[in-house]
Amino acid sequence: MDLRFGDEQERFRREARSWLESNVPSPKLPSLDTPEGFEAHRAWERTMFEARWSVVSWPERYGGRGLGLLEWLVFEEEYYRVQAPTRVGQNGIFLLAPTLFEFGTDEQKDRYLPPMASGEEIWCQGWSEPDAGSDLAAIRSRAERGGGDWVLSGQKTWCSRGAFADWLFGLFRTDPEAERHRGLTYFLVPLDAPGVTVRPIAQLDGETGFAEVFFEDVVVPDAQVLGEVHEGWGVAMATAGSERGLSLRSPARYTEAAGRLESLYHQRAGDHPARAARLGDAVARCLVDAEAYRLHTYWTATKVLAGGQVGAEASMNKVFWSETDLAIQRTALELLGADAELLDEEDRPGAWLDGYLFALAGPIYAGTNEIQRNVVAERVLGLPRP
Amino acid sequence: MDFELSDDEAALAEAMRRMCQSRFPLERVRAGEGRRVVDADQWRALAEAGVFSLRLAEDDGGAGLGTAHAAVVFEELGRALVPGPLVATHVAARIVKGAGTGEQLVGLVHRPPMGRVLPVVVADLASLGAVLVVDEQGVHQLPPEALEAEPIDHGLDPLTPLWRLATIPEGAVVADAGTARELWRDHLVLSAALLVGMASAVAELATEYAKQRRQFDRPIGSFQAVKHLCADMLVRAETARASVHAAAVTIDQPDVGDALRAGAGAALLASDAAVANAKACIQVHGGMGFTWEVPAHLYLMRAALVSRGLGRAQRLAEVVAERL
Repeated sequence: MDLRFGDEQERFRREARSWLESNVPSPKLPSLDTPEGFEAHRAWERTMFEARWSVVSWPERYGGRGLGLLEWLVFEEEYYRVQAPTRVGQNGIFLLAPTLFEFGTDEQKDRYLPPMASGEEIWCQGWSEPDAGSDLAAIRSRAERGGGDWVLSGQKTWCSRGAFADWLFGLFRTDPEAERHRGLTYFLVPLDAPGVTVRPIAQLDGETGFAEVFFEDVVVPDAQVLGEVHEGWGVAMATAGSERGLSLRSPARYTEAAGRLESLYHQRAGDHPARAARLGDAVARCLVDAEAYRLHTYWTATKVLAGGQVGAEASMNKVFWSETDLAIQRTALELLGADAELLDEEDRPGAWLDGYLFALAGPIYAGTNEIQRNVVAERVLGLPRP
Repeated sequence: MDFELSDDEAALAEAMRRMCQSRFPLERVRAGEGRRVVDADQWRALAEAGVFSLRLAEDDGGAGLGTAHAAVVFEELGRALVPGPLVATHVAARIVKGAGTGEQLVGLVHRPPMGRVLPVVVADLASLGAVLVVDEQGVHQLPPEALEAEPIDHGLDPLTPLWRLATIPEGAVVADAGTARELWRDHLVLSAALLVGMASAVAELATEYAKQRRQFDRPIGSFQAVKHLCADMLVRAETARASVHAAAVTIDQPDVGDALRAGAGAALLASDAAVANAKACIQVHGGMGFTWEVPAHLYLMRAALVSRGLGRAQRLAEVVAERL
């Protein structure tokens, strides 16, 4: 075991830090779940892309730097360190892109990856349906052959960023006779295609970037099928592994939040010594947990670099990061007391309240934690299915 | 950056596991229940395997290995519930002559700061050749007979005899305050390694039982409530293990972080993992879990004892919090 980064990695870290420090937008961008905020975040993706920081681990021909997983983790640490904007393109670059690299044709990679990297095309995920949440294989949205193309109909929901996104990647049933995990196909669909209707949904935190998407006879050519026809389940599961595990929620997100919690603790300890004393252990526990997640991720990354695969273990990560995030946000609110709701926007305690409300979604999205625990029990521990 | 076990770390862990399986099968360990002295043959076997000397320099009769190697060794010892003052003797080997070779068993006591309440509990006193007391001044060495100790008849762990100390004499200072901090830090990390081994052992025990035990015509492991108990056990053990390995590596590579903070954090996670997993293991075993037929209770008792020796979760959090 060796926890030291190499000279190359340290040099890369310094370069990333220096660029981010002089380029991160200030003041902070408006919420990306508003039309103007969304466009501001898109412009930030473009700025990063032009300096080749938007997708450092991708090959150079698609706009990356051809770097490895560890460099990506280093970049993420630096990115969160300066509290840079939320990646509006994250569903594309972190979830769809790994799947494109694994299953896409060369034409598809050339067509979709560069505009994804530059923020020109922002993607949302189209998996869940009103009657297919945890039981994803129950999806009923269909794709049928018609005039040499595919014709899509049905409804998708919980599409984060769906209200403003340009494209959707999703699963549609292409063989209704097949066993339910078969007969599904993975499609890439532009949201401005005739027959697509996007309806925003108000979320618990008051934002409306979420959407449900309706498809009425939407025509999609064969070139927009990712992977083999009827084999979409396997393709989608590759994406789910990325979402739960390494790429969507890099540990830097939580070590940075835990670091802010630590600063808040010091700020508040003087004015509210009793409260700080009561919460000192909880703050320490949050730091230890965030650090443990970081270490566990390095472990996973080491395994991947040695040729291993992130499989069902990703579900362990998902349970841990979502619960750690909630603990961090909740502890911050307790430290703030009533101030969490009373202080005005300039002092930004509101950020903790927003963070808390968003963290409430963590145990639900990317597969509920109940399902993740089933996955760990059945696929890692080998316990029998019901 | 490489967080997998190196080939020789993995080989050492494997060798230690085999040694434990042949020398410390559970029925042999349990034969020692209620005994107040450490089995000399067993102790010699541990010494021959290098448990106490592996971090000593080769010139001092050791293997010159690092704390990361020691951590994987102690994880296996914890998994097998090997009794005796393992961690104390190992960390004392750099100070007490004969500890590394197994000739001397050593106890380690953390003197409570002024104003904190005694008594302090010490394990395996009847077998000890020396007691090290660490405090803010440094490391003090005492012969065991210098301690005014009262045996505790019914200690928590039937495999660990305990004595209560009403006072701790000063003793001769044998090392400085810096060494005292290092001993305590290493003690934290290697005890945490024992706890991670225990946390994994009970997770495996519970998972196996859940696969075999049938109710309602199916294995109880097919029920979601039982599955989630098992999944949580695995998550706790794995995150604690990452933390313990990192703390051990931080001792070996001081430039990567604050080793005491990492050690206290690792001890906090490992204590929680071992105690919570042992409780969950008892729960998965149902009524059997509450009997002495199933070893789950032995893990719970040992985990409680070891984690209390680390100063309880709350004090560990204080160590982290003080270094915030």
